[in-house]
Amino acid sequence: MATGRRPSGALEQEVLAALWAAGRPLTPAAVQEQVGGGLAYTTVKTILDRLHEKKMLTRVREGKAYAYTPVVEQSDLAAEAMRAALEGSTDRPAVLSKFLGEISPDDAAVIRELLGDSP
Amino acid sequence: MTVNIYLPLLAALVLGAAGPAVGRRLPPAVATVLLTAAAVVTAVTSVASLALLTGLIVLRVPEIAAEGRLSDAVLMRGPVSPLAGAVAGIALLALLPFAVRAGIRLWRESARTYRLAKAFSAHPASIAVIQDPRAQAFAVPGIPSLPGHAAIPTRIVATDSLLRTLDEAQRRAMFAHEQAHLRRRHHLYLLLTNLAAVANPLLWRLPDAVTEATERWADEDAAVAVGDREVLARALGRAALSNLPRTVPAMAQAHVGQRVRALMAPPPPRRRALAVLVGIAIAVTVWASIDSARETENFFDTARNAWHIAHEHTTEHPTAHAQSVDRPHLVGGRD
Repeated sequence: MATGRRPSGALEQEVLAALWAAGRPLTPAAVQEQVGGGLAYTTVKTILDRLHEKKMLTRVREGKAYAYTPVVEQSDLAAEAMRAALEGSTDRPAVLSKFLGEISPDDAAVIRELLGDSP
Repeated sequence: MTVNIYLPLLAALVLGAAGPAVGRRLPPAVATVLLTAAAVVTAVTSVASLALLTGLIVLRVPEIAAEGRLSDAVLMRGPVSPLAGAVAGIALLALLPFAVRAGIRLWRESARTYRLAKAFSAHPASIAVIQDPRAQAFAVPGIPSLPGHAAIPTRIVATDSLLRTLDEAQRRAMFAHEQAHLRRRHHLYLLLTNLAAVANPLLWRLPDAVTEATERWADEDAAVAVGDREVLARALGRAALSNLPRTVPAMAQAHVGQRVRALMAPPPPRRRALAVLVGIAIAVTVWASIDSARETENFFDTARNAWHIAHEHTTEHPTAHAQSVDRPHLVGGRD
């Protein structure tokens, strides 16, 4: 499953997401471990370099390698627009597809019943 | 005609009432396409029917009929009762404020989404992360390049809380879900259904039904992409539960539980018979609308001919004797 081909942009998304999820600077080796899915070390390193060039990551030297940290959204315009879209989650959305709708107590009960207390 | 002209109105009523339930029984991709098609078709044809019914009655006013060079004597014997026409006219007027309000809301939301997409066009990666305590992600649709307008690429936006809540496999499933929204152009189905609901407020439940269907569709796509139904179910469940302290009473979109339930079960059955039935209903509605429009046209032709026959020898005093001269020629206009 994990080694399946991924659409373009997916690797970039996964690497960036892993860095955000970690909450601390990660070296390419650590990212490779976090992302999993049999990614080659050089692939991970290339993606990290590219994201760094795009100024989406900062890096500090950590021993022989660099450790990377994601950059918080710089554009005020984008950040504001995102927040507006998030706020809209209590409204009935028209064309924007959100991962999660509001969760009702019934939903919570169904989820706990199906997945256990810690899904 | 008397049946055909009312059929789209009946279709709108039935779709508005039963559409969401039927959609839930169909596989999500089929449900999305059929509900959208049904919404658009019934919206257009039902408004056309109301306009025809109203028009047929308005034209009974002799002055208006004379203006249109139509024989009001023929129009008076029209297939639509004055009551039906009056009800249709009142319905059109009554629906107008709802349509305006819904139209303004849709315009605002579309403009907001457009601004969002535009704000991201300069963003260097296909994913943007926003720092927010709520676990949430959404797909920002792109816009293809149009004359005088550069293309706006698609983006996926996720909150840092969501990325931290999910493990690596769950994140990949979540990305696959968002990517499915973009690849299948779900925003277009949503836009069309919302427009249909603007035109005919009887369809007000359809946008939510199609939203639900597109979410399930993206879930099924993502499950195939990562080769595991349960991992997405767990991603949804974990993210939803992490938002729990901030829960508000169930809103229109509250169906996370249903989506988790669907993912923990085998892929949905095809239900070809039901899909074909809905397809036939859509086709019949289109046919009925075209047929009633054609019959109305024939009817107007008859009225026009009768007017011309009545006025052939009386061009020097057109309207004064129109009514009395009309009558002898009605026999000719009856065929």
